[in-house]
Amino acid sequence: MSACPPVFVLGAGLAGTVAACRLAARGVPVRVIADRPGASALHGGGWLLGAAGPLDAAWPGAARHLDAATAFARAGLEALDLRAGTFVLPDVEGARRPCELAPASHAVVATFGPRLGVIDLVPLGHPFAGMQAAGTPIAVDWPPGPDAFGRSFAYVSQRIEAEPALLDGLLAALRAALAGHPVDALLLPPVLGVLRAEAHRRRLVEALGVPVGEALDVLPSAPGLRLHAALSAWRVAAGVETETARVTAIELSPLGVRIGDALRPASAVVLATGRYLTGGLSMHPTVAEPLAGLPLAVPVATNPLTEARREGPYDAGPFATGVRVDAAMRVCGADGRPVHDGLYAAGDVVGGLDTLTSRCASGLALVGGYAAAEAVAAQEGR
Amino acid sequence: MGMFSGPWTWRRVKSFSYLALAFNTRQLRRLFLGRRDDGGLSRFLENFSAEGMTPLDAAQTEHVLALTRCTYCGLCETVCPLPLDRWPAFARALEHSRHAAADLPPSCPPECRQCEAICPTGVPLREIPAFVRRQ
Ligand code: SF4
Ligand code: SF4
Repeated sequence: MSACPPVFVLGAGLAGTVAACRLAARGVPVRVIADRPGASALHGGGWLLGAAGPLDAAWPGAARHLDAATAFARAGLEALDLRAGTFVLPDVEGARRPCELAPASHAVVATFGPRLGVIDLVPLGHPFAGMQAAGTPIAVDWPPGPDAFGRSFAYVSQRIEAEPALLDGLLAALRAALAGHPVDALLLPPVLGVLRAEAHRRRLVEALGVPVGEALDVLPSAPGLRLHAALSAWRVAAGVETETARVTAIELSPLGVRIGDALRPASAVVLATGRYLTGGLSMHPTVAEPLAGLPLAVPVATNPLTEARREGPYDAGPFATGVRVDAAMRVCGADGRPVHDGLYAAGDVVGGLDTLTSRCASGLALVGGYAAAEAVAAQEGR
Repeated sequence: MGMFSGPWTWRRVKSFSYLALAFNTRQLRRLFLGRRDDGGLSRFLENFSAEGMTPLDAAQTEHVLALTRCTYCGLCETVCPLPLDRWPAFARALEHSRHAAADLPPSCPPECRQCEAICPTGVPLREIPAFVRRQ
């Protein structure tokens, strides 16, 4: 017979990738299965790892994972190209967001004031007034071409990533526009690339002689695309195989995942399927966990959207529900006991927390993915 | 949702008035004649297939549901190499393209599925032009 079955991580978003890469680092055979990217591509750029309070609300004893996960996050900064610190970063709409981790090209000290040059890329046609108000607006006639109007910053980032030579044009346009403007620093919309964004930012700093940083994005978000690309690259670098397939069920005895007609035995399963958006929770005809019908932390009777409207603010059931977990991230039944020794969950699919109003779903996904991997590794005796 | 949003073109106003009229006539007939109007479906098809408002079978319903999972996050736009005015992908385009199915160019490079690969909600974007044309 072949060696013992692998750990299956269901979901290739932030929680799934963190769990899988951590398991690989601990020497546990692991495989990621996903049929679409996680919601991490929707990320706006700023990260908070989460205070003990909200974490403990989601799963008991979570706070003790926090320091280790924070250290792990710092170690993983290279993979995700993040910088740690205390930042208040502007987004393109002018909101200022506090964060503990930021994508490298954003993590320059934001000097708000008249001598901050705020770049408006005129041909794109969306001058965000809030962002312009952070300093002196400077109009820049770039990118060229008749097709630029209406394209998103994230689209421009994709283009520059694919064609780094485009950066020369941006640099020339910035030089021309800066001629009459003495500035201490420059704030760009997030257009500098995907995985190359930080390298491109450094080139601008060298050529222009002033600090340059990017604003955080709104959807569709360049930092989200960068996170998505960085997660894929991280899994490859960690030797984690990612399989594109649709899991239709999790079987509990024996433990395995069903893909089409095949049942694939698993030594453990980490459920990192997200919430409604990515199919981790279904809403038709009622709110449910679709793969194993797992009990939900906050029962929701009806469609989340109508429910929310009826119950008011977003701390209502649908936005806080998800599977229950114990201190080791094992999925629990209504009685608080694990439904199976080998079934874990992490990320948005975990209930008990309102990720819209709690501090940061990404921080929670990171800490949860890490904690789940540690627990699985302990179970596997690694 | 999609049916009631989007720009109110003259053609839409007309088709909604037809719908309202047909509905009311039917109610009145039932009221006064006291019998079921069983010719409804064929008359509905007669009146509305020209407008593209044909009933959907189960598979098509599934399909429309998949298309309506779109959250308008815009990620598909960021990976699409086509110029915006020839861009068939964004599920939001579905509403608009109902009125312009004939104008949709067969524009996607045959192997390109980049928009589907990035969509967090799994909208079958490549199929929109074909779907709209079929309707
Ligand atoms: S990526 Fe998917 S969810 Fe986002 S706008 Fe495009 S079709 Fe809609
Ligand atoms: S499949 Fe078509 S719509 Fe989608 S990214 Fe490619 S060219 Fe654009």
